[in-house]
Amino acid sequence: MKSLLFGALCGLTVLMSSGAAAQTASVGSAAPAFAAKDLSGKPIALADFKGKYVVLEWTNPDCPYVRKHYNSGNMPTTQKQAVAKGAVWLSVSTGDTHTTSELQSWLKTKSASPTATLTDADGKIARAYGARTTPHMYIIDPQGTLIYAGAIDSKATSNPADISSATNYVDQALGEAMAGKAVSRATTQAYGCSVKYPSGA
Amino acid sequence: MIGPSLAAAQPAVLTTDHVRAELLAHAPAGIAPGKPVWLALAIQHQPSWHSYWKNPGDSGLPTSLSWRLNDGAIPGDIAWPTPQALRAGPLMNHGYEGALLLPVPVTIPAGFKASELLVRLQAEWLVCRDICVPESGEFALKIPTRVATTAHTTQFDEALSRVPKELASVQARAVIERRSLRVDVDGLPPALRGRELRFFAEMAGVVDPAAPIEQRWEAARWSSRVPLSAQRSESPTVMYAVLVPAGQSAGIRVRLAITGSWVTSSVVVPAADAVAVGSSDNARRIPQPSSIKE
Repeated sequence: MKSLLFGALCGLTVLMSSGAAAQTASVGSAAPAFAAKDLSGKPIALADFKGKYVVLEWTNPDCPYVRKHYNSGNMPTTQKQAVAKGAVWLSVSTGDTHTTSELQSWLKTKSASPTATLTDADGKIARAYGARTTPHMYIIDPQGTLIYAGAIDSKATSNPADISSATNYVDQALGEAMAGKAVSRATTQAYGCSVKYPSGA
Repeated sequence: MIGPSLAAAQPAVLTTDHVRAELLAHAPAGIAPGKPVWLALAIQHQPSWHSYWKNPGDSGLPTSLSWRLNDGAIPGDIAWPTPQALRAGPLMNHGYEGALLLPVPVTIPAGFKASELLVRLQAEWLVCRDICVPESGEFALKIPTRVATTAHTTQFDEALSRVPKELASVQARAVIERRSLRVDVDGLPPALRGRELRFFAEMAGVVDPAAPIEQRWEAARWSSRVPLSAQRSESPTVMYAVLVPAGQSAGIRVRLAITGSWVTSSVVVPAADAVAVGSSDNARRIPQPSSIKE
């Protein structure tokens, strides 16, 4: 039994050397290209926004950590400020937990203002970016390089009262990058619910 | 600050839709300086719900306990029982299903004179299934000092037996490679030789919790290559990890002195393949302990 198991493990080891995990997006590397549809069915590709900063936000209205940042107004405000500074904001909904009309009405009630919300039903975009949580945030610079990956802010709790004393990492990274400075916290530990990858993905 | 009336106003049990949580005490020799005194939050999860270990893995948050004790008694850190690996699609979490006890040792100071240990606990835990619910509770308990408190001995013994063991014989080190940590461990119990071990990093943000590790035994040495997270946020020089033989409930805690330099990856990912690549990596995963036992 044991030797059989180890035979199987060796086989896995050989396969592993081509390393799927190693090709997940990482800060400092080219952001993986993607093409998807927004909630109205319009095709959207990362390549459409070359020359602009692009923020990706993994979202799920059912998740208490997403609700923390929407019910408090923190995420919509961060979106508005980023877009006002010239960035493109793409919210991403992975899996099939919500219909497009459910997402549309939820975004409306929260006064959310992303440039677009993408559906990632098969989880391909989430896999390419290594998205683990909702929320999980990424920033891509005008040259297409990933410059931020991680949490929305520095306080990993579900309590909205913590937002005012937390550092908003997306605001901070975008502000630094747009001012020509190095991003001081380029990778942080995202917190929240798991991304709802479709079964079999 | 806390008096008996306040303590009596709080219950020791809280039942939600997802867990039954209870504050328990264990003081088999009474409460006095130098005697073993333990408190614990017991969490009975509803079937298919789980809460999290100190490093929750790809998502989730660890349970947090905040104590107020009287007369200078000092609560320690949670003695986390060995976690289970909980898979969620391509993600991996570390946590607990079923019955869980999170024990905390209490130091009773020399000048402790109270006739009761008054305990107040503010606890926060995240409980998840396909959805997640943050829950919290306030608990209180009064424990007489002059008699033994032993009603939950079995539960404490069981939980403490599941806390990872630190063995004096074990020496471990880790070397930073380009995309992985090379981890070598000597001095593990001979009974483990040849067995597959699961690796749980106690620190989040260093290794990829879902990535299969390469491992082999070279005589008495367990040697492994643990893939780093592509989005690593921490650069430790020392990290603790728990090694768990497949199918066992208690692991071994090892201290990894990490050598080499943490460098930011400058490797450019070919954008065109990146989306296509992910889909087959489930097939490459090492089987889970449950499937190995079959």
